Amino acid sequence: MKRFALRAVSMTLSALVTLALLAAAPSSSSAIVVSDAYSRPANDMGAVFLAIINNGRSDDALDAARSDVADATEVHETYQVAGGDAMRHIPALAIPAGRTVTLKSGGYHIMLIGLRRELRVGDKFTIGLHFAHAGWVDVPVVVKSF
Amino acid sequence: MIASIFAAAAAISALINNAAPDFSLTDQSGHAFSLSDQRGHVTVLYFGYTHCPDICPTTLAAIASALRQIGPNADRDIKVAFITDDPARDTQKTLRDYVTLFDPHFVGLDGSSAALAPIYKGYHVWFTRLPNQGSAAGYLLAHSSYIYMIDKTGVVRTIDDWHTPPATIAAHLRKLYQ
Repeated sequence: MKRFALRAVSMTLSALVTLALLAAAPSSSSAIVVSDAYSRPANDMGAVFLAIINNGRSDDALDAARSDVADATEVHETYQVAGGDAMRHIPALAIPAGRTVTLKSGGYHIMLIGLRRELRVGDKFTIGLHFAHAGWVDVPVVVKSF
Repeated sequence: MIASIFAAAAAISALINNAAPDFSLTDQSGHAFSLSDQRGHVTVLYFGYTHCPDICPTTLAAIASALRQIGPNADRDIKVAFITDDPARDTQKTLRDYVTLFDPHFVGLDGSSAALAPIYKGYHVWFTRLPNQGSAAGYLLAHSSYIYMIDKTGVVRTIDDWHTPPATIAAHLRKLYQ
């Protein structure tokens, strides 16, 4: 009986610890941590830049994104061509085990297509990123200039 | 590809220390905007499109940040004009809503294709529509992204590319502004 009670307390404690950890790090799952997410002012198309850290032992991939602020949310890449810069849609972005992949201007970004509201400096919103293994991760984003 | 990048860069560099090609377009309020009317002011030109999610907003934010570094009145004294590469979609309203997100004094310029074509040519502006690869974004453009800085007498003095940090843009503009 006593043992059962102890076990129950221990399980409750571990659940509380897990909850506390989740609350402290809202942008992390078991292996994927997302940090430094920001966007620029925009009123039609926007982009979110951030860093994705894979602390796990297995490779993962960012394969979908969602947000309440836009009609569609996709992973895109800006790349250089003769004479300028072009952009393409990336169906899945590899996040290798133990690596950090930085989405930054001139490279990868999360594209917000058909913004439902203006994004002004100081605004905050949330996007969801889906990883093939880690599942959905919610990420807070701040709109900034420089 | 490397050779054509150098050729494009060489053509753009040839504008430096020469009179900026004059033009007349329409601003976001429907008023005529001629480059020759800006004499006495430093003018900054940037060509882009409002559906651009990455490079155009990054560049406009960098220019706005540079102006704030220069001083409180810099955004009134230095004229910043965003000229559309996408007249088919960009309207006066979308241009106004867009450029003023970055600075209330930024100007968005539009015109007919016939009016814009010689301006693109004069400033060696390159762009092309990209085929849609299953994106919800509709068509996107590949485009050149330079910041043209024109002095108070109408001469092109500096051309920065879009990677230029705000502090460097500010340093280049200060030389023309003082």
